[in-house]
Amino acid sequence: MSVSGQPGAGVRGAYAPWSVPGGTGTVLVLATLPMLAGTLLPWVLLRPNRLAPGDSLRLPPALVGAGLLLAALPLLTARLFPRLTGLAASLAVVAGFWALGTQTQAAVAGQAPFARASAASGVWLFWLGAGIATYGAGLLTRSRPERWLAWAWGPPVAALFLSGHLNAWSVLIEGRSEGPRWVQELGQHLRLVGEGLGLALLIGVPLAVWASGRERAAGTVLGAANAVQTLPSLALLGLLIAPLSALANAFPALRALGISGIGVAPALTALTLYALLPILRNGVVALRGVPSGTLDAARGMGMTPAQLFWRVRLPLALPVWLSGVRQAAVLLVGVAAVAALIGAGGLGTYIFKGLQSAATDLILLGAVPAALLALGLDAALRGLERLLGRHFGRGP
Amino acid sequence: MTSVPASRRPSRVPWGVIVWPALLAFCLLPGVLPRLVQPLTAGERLTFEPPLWQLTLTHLGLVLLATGVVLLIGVPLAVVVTRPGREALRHLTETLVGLGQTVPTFAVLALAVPALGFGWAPTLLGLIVYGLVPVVSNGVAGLLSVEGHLLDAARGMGMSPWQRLQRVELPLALPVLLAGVRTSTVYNVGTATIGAALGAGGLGAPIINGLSQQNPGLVLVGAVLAALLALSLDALLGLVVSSPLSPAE
Amino acid sequence: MIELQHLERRYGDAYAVRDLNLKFPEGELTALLGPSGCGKTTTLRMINRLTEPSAGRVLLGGRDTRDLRPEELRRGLGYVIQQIGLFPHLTVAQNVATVPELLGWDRRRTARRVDDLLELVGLDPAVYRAKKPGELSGGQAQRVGVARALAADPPVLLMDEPFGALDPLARDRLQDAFKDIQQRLRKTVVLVTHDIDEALRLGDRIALMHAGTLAQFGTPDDLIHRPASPFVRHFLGEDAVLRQLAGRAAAEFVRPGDPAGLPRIADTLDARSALGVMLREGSDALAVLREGVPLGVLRWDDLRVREAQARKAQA
Repeated sequence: MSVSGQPGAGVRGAYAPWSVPGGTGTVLVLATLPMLAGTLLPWVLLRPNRLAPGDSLRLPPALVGAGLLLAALPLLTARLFPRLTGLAASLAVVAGFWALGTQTQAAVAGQAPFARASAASGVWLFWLGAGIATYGAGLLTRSRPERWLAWAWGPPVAALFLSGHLNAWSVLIEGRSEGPRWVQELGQHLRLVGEGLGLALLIGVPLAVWASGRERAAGTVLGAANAVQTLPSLALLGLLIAPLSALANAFPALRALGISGIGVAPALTALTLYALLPILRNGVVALRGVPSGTLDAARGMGMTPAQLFWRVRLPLALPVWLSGVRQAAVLLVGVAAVAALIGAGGLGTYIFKGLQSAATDLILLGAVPAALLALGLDAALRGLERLLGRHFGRGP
Repeated sequence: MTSVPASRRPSRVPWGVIVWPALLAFCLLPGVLPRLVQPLTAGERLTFEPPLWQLTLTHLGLVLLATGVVLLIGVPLAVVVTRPGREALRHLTETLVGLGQTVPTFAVLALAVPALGFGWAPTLLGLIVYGLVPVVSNGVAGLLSVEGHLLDAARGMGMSPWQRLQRVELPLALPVLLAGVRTSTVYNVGTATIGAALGAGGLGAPIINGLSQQNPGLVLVGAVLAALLALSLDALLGLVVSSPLSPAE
Repeated sequence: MIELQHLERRYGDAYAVRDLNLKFPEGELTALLGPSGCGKTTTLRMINRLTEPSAGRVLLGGRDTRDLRPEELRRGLGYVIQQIGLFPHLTVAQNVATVPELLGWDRRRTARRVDDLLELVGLDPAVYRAKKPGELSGGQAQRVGVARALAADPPVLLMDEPFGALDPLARDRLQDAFKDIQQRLRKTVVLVTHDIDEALRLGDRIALMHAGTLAQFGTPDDLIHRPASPFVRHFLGEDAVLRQLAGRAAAEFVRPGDPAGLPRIADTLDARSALGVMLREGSDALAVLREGVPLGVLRWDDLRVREAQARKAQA
């Protein structure tokens, strides 16, 4: 076959002299629209206290003008100076944070100390657009050194947070008043995830190794793990309450160890069961997926079964297995949030508290860190996978 | 969450299709579940208002409505971003889908409350967002897996882009796409229980009430029904997904 | 029938095809032959506009193909590819019926046509109609591929390495079957191949391409005996004559004569193998039989004449 006649990527030439995935222009248009809308929509919600309904405040005309300009800037830059698109998008992100700071400060100035100024729909839309713009800029410059410009917003935004510019934002007020307790709940969340994952690894790794060599055991183990996954996490937490409280009632010694129907014990049990599925599934699949030719060759070289496992099967299975561990970890961050309902603590506590009292800021205080935690954990473990993949000479 | 259709031998009788819905129906008979969980509730007989079958229907309705909207949005989205010359849109979609997969469900549902208030609306939004993940990612994967030479043959025979999509690409992507719909629907049964914390009603309501009243019996009622509903839907959808493709007339 | 005028295709600065002028005669099979990367597939794909020319034009029956909608143009040109490209979700019958359906034929006419075509390519409709492509062997699948390309009775058939993915035995059988079909239908066929034997065996004419340009266009005899350049001679190889004999049936060289007492061969044997039989038997003539009945005599000299011609041309 000779070269196929597919037309080249549509954006090529119109934007940049280097190769760019087709449709990057559309992505930047998709980034501009929410930013335009966000500039025109209410920017700050001012309430007399943290629960009362409040008034929507818009940006002053001068800032609306600046916002519209900033919204169009990434698209214009992509046309005129494609290399600098990342800078334009970063500028929009920083401007969003900066304007939130100035507007919340202005809103609470002269108000009673209980008054709260929170981010309204405009801010969220503007951030959404700016985020897509940095993504588009990353695509536009991904084969060039300028791609780091799409991350240029990081230091200025951190500086805005640290300098206290955003201190009038209701979420940060709430966060400051919660302070040490919030850190404690974050720690509890991490502990739940860490312990659940640790227990699941302790059980899952040997079980996967054992089952991978046995056709029927593998089927049974995978089937059981799949069935657990079908159960809603909330239902699983609920179902564990009955047997554990029965156990605690029957053996007071166990209760002395802290095992009861509610609290950390059923939460940890549920987290462990949930994490088992990806660890078992990927482990069994990865260990069974080692090519039989490779195993034959290794046996032919005179490897003992132990050597075969440590030198051939495990290294080859590790990348796939690790991605199962990553899936388990990410899953656990979410299940741990739900576990707050049975008194296990963690960031979910704030979400439930916020839902019960209709306090948006409390919800954000729990949900946003939980989301960031999951994303961070995902990125970190992906990095680890890539590192190990490279080490063993097999890309993920 | 790119799920691949499970390879099942067609000769195997899908017992789940009969067993799970039958168990679900049995549990919904008036008085059956309350009597079964009586030992856990300190002898107290539970009564439900609204009745259990109504909670189950609310739950099912919420999940099916979400699946419907997900299909209406997800399939066209998967088609649009897999057209040639739109790689950037596909990357963006895949990244967003990845985000949806990583961000905890409960966080997504809770974050919808400030925007939509309490009730079924934020739950539905959460179910749609979360349900889109497997449908879009499987749809994209299915459409991308159609081999280039088949499209070449279709083009060479004089099919228009629309005809290629309708006669070749979609039928070939269908098994993978349907597997995504199955995953999406079954997972959403679980997600919808969390919606009770947002005031959506459904089978999460007895669970949440039971947890706050420390009544394991109540929790068990909701959990059993939700699990049976999930297993029933999984079995029923498995029937569609694993059946051999009917020849297009 | 098909005429290429100053046809060009560029990718960046590189030419895949450069200033190509060629007339494919009506009702004949022209093999587009050449090493890989010579632009033969690109040329074929420019005929049905799967690849758009950078310059020049393609005339089809005197009409510029750019005046037609690409879809309309392609429905009138049968297209067979190496990977066969049968749609795995459709049955054999539905695959063959694709273009008639696109053209809006009525159901009964389509069904009849499908059966006729399956018979034409040597597949029993009753057995194969309802099978899925996954149940066919490679050879059977490409038979269906040929039937599908012929479905709407296009005057032109474009074939891109159609037998390239088959094992030698299946390829041999399918080449024979196709030669047979072509003798009956007399389509204008453009067949892209890098296989010299295939070109010699099937081609009425051969267009040999080299680096995007035409090296020589002519009958197989022309190319073997009157190569236009050292490249042509080198590409066809020193044993071109023997290869050509291998591509022709012994029956083609038969003359009337008395077959009594001569070693016997079947008329389906190729001429090269017949030469081998003569050497083995130590005889300069063979009796050629068709289904046991003597057809005539094949003589050493008749085969040698061509060899001599070739040597003269090469000298």
